[in-house]
Amino acid sequence: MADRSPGSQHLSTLLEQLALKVVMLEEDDVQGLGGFLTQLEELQAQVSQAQELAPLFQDLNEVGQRLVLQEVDQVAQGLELLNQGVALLQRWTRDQEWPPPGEAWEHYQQLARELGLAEGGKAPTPPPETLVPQVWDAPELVAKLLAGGPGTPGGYRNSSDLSGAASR
Amino acid sequence: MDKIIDYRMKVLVVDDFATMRKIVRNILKQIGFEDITEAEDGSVALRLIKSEPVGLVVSDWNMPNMSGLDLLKEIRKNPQTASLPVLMVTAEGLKENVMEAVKAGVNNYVVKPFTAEVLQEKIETIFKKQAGA
Repeated sequence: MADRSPGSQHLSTLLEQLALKVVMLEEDDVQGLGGFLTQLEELQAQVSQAQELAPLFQDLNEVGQRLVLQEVDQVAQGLELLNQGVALLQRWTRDQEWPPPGEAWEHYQQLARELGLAEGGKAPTPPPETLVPQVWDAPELVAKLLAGGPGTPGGYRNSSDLSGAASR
Repeated sequence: MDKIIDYRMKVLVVDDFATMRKIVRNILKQIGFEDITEAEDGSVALRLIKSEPVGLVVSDWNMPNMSGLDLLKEIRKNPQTASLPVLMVTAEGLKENVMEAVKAGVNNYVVKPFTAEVLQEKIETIFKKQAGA
């Protein structure tokens, strides 16, 4: 059953206003984009508990700002992403499911990729370098390498070798 | 486009640098505006707006006493001037300033240095939107 609490009603009203604003947006509509971004901030504050929505808000805010600063080559796609993003938020208030199943979400992600957004509405993932094991993660291997132990035929045998390597 | 812009309207140029006011005034004349008035900061501009019918404000961002942003906020706060078109002039690279002005309700912005063509385009965009609203 849909939530009809005063907070939820306020959220629905905010989203309706945002949806109206976004549908009226045009290229070069600086003032309209300003109104959209301000209302988006208000909405984000209302749903700050829903951490899963943060990347979406980040995307919408970034595209809105880039449109204002004329840093988007594909303006139509930028405006479309704002439209789709607001539609996804409306769907979230109705179904409380994230990410929403179906084509709308895929379409949004496609647009995000085309616009070069880092998040694409997804939850942030750790940067790749933290996933790749580094040599300093294995102290025993470092010790073997320095001592020229088994399996490390080219290992440095003493400190003078190391200082020579650093200057090479 | 000529029908959208009434070139007889009073345009208020707000800047603390007299040279910059003169440059903007000349560009506005070049575009076709005839009635141009000046103010050296936001507080003087606000007094002028309250006493004379102004159709467009072209304001610098950084000024003593009252900045362009504070002037904009005051204009938007007053129901009698809330819909007055404001074009903000900002320095190149100050994106944060642009975003702050945009969120405060500026109609458009222009980055220094700018040409007559760019200023005209921005003013046309403002009045085109107003005519369509």
